Amino acid sequence: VRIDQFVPSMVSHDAISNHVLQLQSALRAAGLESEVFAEAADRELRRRVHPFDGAARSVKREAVLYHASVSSSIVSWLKEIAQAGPIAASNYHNVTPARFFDAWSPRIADSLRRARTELESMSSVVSIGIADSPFNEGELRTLGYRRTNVCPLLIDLDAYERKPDARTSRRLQRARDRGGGRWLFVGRIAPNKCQHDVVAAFAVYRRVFDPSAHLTLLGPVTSLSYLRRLESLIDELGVGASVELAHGVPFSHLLAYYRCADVFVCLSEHEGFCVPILEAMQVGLPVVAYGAAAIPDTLGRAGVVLERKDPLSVAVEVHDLVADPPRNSAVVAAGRARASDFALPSTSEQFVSTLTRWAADAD
Amino acid sequence: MELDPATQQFVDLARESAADIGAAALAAGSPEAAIELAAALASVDADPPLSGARGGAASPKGLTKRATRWYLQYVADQVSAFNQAAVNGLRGLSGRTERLEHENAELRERVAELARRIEIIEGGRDER
Repeated sequence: VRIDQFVPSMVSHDAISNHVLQLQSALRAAGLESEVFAEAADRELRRRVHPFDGAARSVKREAVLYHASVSSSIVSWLKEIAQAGPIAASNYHNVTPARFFDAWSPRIADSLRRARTELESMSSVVSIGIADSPFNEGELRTLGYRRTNVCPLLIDLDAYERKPDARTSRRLQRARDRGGGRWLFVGRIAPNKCQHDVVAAFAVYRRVFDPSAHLTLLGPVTSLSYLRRLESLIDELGVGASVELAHGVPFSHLLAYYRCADVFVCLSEHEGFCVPILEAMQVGLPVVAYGAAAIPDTLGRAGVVLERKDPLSVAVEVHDLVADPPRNSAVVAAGRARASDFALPSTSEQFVSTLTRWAADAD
Repeated sequence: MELDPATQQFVDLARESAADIGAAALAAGSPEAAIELAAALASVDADPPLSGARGGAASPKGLTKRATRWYLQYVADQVSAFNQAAVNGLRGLSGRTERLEHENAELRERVAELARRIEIIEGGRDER
């Protein structure tokens, strides 16, 4: 069987794009043919991806796997060809609820609403919906998907054992040597990620527990208006000198940030999986996270899950963790053990066997 | 947890400021929320958010940013001034609309009261 993958966009170092390429390798290793087609791909990935153009649309296919996360013209094409024979599956990576963007980026909100409508309309076209997390599976079921399965994102966790960028490591280590706890959050600058709550909790933490503490917020900017508001909050709370916002960080630099942090704090209100939590656990960084959406699924019992995110209570939770070395070590060890549940060989095998069973059933 | 008054005041400020941002989604669609968002965005930043983490050799984006700053800042200043004027205008219109709505509500009440009186007077005539 040949299982081709279709994805709206392929971007280097992006979690979904990496997953698509890992899945392609796993399918090929299992003796199956698989090509990747995308509406857009950045320069680095163009060699590995076929454009989703007229030629791609006209080829007859056996099985198609669509990666759903944003609005795409691939959906209407899938609906057309589904009646002509090929079996189709959807790999759902989550669509952020539009309400988070209404106040900040109405155009993004419109696009997300379209994506959710498309996702719902696909329920009658695909014969299986494969979700990254139990949370995502729940959403698929609500939208009318009858056959669903959970297979985690394919992530090469060994890559996190590589050497970090030396210059960045030195710079961060020098800063660390000056003292103060180092908070880290990694994720797009977007309203649903709630970096404003992290900033508020951090400001309180500095005021109450650790005046030398430092916060780094890493991630590309999705909503510029939200970024501007975040910057004004940082100024308002007087923590500008101790907060670093970095938006275009290469992977080797990202590793340096993870290695030189003391705690990963996530107060996001909507995540379909939350790869950064897994990254933090893999590199041995304790995680304190608000238990929203898929975060409890990914974190398991390997971190501190918060039921509320009032700035003072978050600051207290972080302090209680970092000031208690035995407890901190236990959380780190639990995190590493949890990360090993997502080791690439086992997740790849799980995904490939799900797809082959699905293809066999469809025959 | 016991906090001194100054720290408690700071905690309250952090709590309220974060809550304001969180509440923006709930208020989306209201004219007041739209004006506040416009006010927050009125100032155009000529600095694109590039990585703040890279050391060493300047990136092409960084070089481009520095080379074009004299021009972009000139344009950004004018756009910011226009935006701020527009926001001031919107706030003025919003205030005027609010006053008109208030006056309108008062006038409606007065008209209703007058109508009631006329009804009584006319009713009295009928009775006679």
